[in-house]
Amino acid sequence: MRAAERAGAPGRIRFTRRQLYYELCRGLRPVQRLPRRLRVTPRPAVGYERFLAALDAHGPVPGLLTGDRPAPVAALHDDVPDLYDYGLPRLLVCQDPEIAGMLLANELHMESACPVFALRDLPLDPRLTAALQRTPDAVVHVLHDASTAGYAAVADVVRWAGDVRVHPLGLRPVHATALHLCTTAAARSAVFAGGGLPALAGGLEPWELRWLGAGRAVEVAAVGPARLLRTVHRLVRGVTRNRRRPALRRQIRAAGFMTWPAA
Amino acid sequence: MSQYREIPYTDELLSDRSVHRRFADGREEWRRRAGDRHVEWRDNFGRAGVDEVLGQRVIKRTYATGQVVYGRDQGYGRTAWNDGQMTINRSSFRGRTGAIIAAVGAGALLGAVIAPPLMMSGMEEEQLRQQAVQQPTSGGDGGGDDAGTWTNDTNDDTDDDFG
Repeated sequence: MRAAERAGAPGRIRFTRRQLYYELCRGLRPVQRLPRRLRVTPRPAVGYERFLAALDAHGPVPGLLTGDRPAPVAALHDDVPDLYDYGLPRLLVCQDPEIAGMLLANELHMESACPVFALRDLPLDPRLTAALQRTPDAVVHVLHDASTAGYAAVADVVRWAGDVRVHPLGLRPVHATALHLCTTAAARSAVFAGGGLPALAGGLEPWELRWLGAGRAVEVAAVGPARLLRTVHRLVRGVTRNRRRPALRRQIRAAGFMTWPAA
Repeated sequence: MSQYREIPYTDELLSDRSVHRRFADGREEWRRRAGDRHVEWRDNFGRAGVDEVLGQRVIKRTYATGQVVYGRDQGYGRTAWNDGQMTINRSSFRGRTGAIIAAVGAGALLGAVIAPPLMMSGMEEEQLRQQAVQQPTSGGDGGGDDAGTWTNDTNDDTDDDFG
């Protein structure tokens, strides 16, 4: 199973069964090499059940997360009385509990100082909510699938977050098509809940809305584990790599007598 | 360009968000924002006044005595004033000390200085202000949630995060 090696590269990333499954599909049909302009999202090459059966036959795979998710870390720290007295600048809510577990297993919460929760963990400890509200620019990031269910999840988080800003990280259909991710195996049979998209799907291009409206769905798990980690690290910290340098040059050109130093 | 006397300066942001500006000719200014388009200042010669962005990169400096000087930003931190000065911002820029200095060098090659207005009537000033209100200079960053946020982190095939 070379897919397992690729999923863990570089450097022993822990991944979920579904991520391994999509990695296998990528190996069988390397459409990700197509140019990004083509809006291609392939169907999976093999069924998920067949994959699970093969996985059982194969035996243990290094790096594969089998359990649901590690025990909540917060419980360990409850002996620190002033833990919740601090502000909390950001928080990540994942639609898929397995992805939340995967991000935790890869210690995203430690590296990016961003607690990770699954959608089903909501509502969170009120002390956490208070910590968020204490920070002026706090953001709740949402990592959701590119599907109507994904945008419904965003709407749920917005309802919970109240006046805290919510930032949907994606996947948007534009991400899914640019990366040529596999559509979800079950998506075709998923019932499209005819009530139209949640209001939050505003900001999407018309073709993206049509794409969602056709009942297509791409899971976050379909993103390569390494790319997922890298992107989430970058997005929750608000680092925009592609825009940084031109912005600096533009700012230098625009600098003048009334320019205020940044720091 | 030679008709302007060049005076470089550097800015230092103080902890109360005001700015200490040091000019190469020994003048020092303490500047404090007063609204979006105005900056109040005092200097080490006991003078004080208000700078205002009028629009079209024109800056109006009003001294407490009532005297008015106009300047025009030339880009790359250079500002030409109608009293014959060319002030040059040499502050480190987002932690890159050399960046703006190098850019100023490039800017000097760009050539012609657009002269600042010598005099302006109240109506002309108002016109510039109106124009500036109608066309905001920066459009904000708009979130940047395009495909690039997910795809731009690697080249197609290499899984190298340090590229």
